[in-house]
Amino acid sequence: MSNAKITLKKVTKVFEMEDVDTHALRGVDLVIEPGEFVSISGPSGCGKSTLLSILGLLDTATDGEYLIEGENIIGLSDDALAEIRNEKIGFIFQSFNLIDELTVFDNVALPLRYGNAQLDSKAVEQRVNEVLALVDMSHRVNHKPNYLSGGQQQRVAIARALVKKPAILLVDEPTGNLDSKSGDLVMGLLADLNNKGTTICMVTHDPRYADMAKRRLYLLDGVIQPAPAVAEKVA
Amino acid sequence: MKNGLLLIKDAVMSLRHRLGFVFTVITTMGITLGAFLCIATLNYLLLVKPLSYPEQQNMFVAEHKLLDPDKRPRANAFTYPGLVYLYENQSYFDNATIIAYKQNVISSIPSQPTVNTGAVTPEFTGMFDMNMYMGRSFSETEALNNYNPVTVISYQTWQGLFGSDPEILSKTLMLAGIKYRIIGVAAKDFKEPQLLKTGHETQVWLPWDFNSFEDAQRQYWGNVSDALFFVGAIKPNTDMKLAEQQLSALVDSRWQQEGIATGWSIEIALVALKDVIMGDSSVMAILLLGGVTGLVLISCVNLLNLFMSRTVERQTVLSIHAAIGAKKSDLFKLMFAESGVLLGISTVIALVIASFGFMLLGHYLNEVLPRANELSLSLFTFVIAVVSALSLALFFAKVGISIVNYKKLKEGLQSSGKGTGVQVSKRKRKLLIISQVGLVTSLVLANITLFQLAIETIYKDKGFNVENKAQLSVKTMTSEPLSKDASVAVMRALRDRLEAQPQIASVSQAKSPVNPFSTWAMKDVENNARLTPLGKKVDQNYFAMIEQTLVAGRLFDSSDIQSGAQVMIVNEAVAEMYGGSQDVIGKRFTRGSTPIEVVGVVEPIFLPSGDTNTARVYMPESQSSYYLMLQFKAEQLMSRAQIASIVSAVDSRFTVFNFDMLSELHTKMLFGDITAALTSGLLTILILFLAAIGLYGTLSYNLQLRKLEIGTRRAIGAKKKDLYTLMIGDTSQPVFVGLALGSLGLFILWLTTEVNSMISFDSMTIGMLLISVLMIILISLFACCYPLKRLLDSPIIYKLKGE
Repeated sequence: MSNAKITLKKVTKVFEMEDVDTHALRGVDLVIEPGEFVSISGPSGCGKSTLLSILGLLDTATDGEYLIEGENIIGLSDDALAEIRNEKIGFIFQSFNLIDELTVFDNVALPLRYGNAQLDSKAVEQRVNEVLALVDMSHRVNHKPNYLSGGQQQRVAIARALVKKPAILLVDEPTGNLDSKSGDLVMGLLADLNNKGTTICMVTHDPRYADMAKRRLYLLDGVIQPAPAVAEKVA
Repeated sequence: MKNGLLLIKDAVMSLRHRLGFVFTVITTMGITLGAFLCIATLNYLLLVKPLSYPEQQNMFVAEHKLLDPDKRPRANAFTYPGLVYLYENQSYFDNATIIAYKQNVISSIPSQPTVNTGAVTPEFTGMFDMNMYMGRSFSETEALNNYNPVTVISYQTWQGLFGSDPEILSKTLMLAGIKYRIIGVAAKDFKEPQLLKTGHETQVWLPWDFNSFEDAQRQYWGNVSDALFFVGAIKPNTDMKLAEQQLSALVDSRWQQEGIATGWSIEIALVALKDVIMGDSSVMAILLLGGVTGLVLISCVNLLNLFMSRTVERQTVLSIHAAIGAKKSDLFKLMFAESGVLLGISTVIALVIASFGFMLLGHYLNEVLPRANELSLSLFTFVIAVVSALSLALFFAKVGISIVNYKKLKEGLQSSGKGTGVQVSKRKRKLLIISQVGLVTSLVLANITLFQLAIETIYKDKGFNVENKAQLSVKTMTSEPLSKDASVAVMRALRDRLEAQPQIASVSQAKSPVNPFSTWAMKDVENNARLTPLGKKVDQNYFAMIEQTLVAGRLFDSSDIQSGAQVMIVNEAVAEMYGGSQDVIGKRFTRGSTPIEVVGVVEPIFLPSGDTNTARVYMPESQSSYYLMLQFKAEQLMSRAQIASIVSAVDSRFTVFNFDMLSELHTKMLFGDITAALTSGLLTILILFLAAIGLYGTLSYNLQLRKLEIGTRRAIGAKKKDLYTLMIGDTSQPVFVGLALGSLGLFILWLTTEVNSMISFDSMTIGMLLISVLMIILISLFACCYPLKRLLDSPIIYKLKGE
């Protein structure tokens, strides 16, 4: 059995419209090994977000196979998928998606409340404080997201993604809503996490940040192409 | 103009994809606006629209008041000679007519139908614009004391009783032994003034000389009748006070000459014809208008939420419009076009519902609401419809635009469509739910209580049986009344003949329990204490026939009836006043001078107009009474024609006056309660329906605003169960607060008003109230869960994208 965190085999995604079918992904094969930091880039409409949605179990593939840590997730129920998202996937969104009514602490603790193995409050507190310390946000633990800067919100979002020690972090344009200084800080944090062993798959169209990944993939018209092809294409 | 059409076209195209929203809006507004238009038109008709008579603004009814020595009015009705005297001697009216209403039997038609007659002087025709369908109306040849036996029949009578006979003007009809030549058929649209009572329809019009008052009554100044009316068109510039004084003096001075009652006097009051016809119906009409306006308001609050949801739903479209240069006023036009299209369709449906409502009101409430038969779609209805539709469309568009933050909307597209350009605060949303649930709770609970009260009355044990029983009354067709002995002989023969019929099980000579009782003034012989029970004269078969149970003593026997014994039977309510059923037996009362002994006690009966504690007494009926009750064998009923042939076979001078099944008479008595039950029941359903729409709108709007949050929660692993728990938890707080506030408001109303004497909280009432509360909770639950289910059924990524 493979040790790969993620395995996609011949994955396709077709959006059926009234009069035309749009092929967003065309037979994508992808393997992400433990500890990898993979970036996916490409022009608008190439299928980056669709690929990330399928990887994050936020959408389903039209065809193909998808395995997370060797477990085929095709055909699983909604609740089973929710459990996998909760246990194995950490998601970081471009617009942070923190819940305004909850404090920083509660936002980060949220995934712990949805898991099958319910922790006691002390354990929850300990784990939340651990991840908040990791992203250097311990000092804003009781604040509401509205009172934080964009960079701080993204760091809280990263803490929330890490709180269940997921198999992989899926990151969608993490710096899209941030200024360059905050963007750099967030990317530095992601690089640190990867260096400590966290597997990351990031979608970005910022070449500077894409280069920070250990493996770069380029998506064009729903097909993954090796990174060198990009240089040729650009040239 | 072109832009306007384009906006409407865009609105229609956009709405085509939101059929649920369209259906909800047009159903809600169609029904409630329909009810509003119907009742608004009724109010216009009753309160504003002039009567359709040429001189209606000058037409007054003269009221004849009998004042006691302390000048307190004791009666408001004319004496026959007083009315004629006023008609012949007054000088304040350019035109005046007198009218006498009565019922009579047309003996020349085989079915011998009882008809409403109206005897009038010839001025009636012109004053009330009595156009003719064919023939002529009354003229000078039918003036007072001309005794010309002719008649005018109503259009409906011509159709119903004469089969629309085209040769009708060559025919006659016979009433009370007099043959009348039919000289005309009134026009179909003739609207007679409903003076006698609301909904009264005169079928046969006669010249005044042929009113049914006997000669003795025509001469006697001591009897008043509420079937006599004087209507006149007052001369221009008349001082009304002076006219009343002088007319009073005219009639009073003549009345005093008769020496009827020392110290008493007559006063004439002039009341506008419209006020007499309207009676106190304007209060009912205004209350109804208040009720439907309330419904429209509830609908507006409900739709407000739906329109806000719709605005949230359209924020991407609005953002695009804003991004390409649409000003806020342009966005308002977009919303107004959409609300305008919806309200336009709703108004068309409302007009259809209103015209259906007019038909129902005209048919079923003709006897309660004056002029209900004049209701139809009018210019007023259309104007109100258009004004309401425009106002509401503007209102919904205004509310829609008010929640749009134009600045943020423009930024919305730049921040990947997850903007917050359209928002209503969480507190406001909670308050909306609380107010909706509170309002619905109080309205539903109030309606359910009224419904239950009405149902209780309808199904309450009557204490007697009306199945297969009929009330028959007969009448002589001679102009002179029969002697008592002759009447006794005829009625005995009629009873024997009826009892011999194979379909008839038994006959009782009495008025049925559903016919009105009289109030009898009695005195306790022992201490002269007054007793004023309701009384009825009955024979020896009465109690057995209606199955009213004897509690103590005995019932009447045939010797009581034949001898006219001075005995009486009382009900338990009377017995209770005198120490119980055993103690009251043998007690003696007087009615006049002769003592009457109590020989029996029966169980109480319950009539819709009274209660079981009403004191009732019964005495032996005279054998000359023209009232009979018939008990038919099961499934062997007889028709009026069959009974009429038996009556005329016994004595050709007699005819059937009334023949009605007791069950039908009893149902008529319950008309008010049945109407109340239907109205409150329908209102409850309508309110629950509106509540469902309103709560669905609010909660689905709530969910629209939390789409991103729901998506995020799902993305980080929340299961469906977790999200249902979250949403139900969040919704239950305002729902329960609303339920509590609504119930509390109603409870305070119950505690502080007279309503608490009408409603008792027995297990049935509490059960119905609990069911209502449960319904509201279930509706809230559905309104909370159904939109969430739809949301959860779509891929999570759509929610995260704000789609």
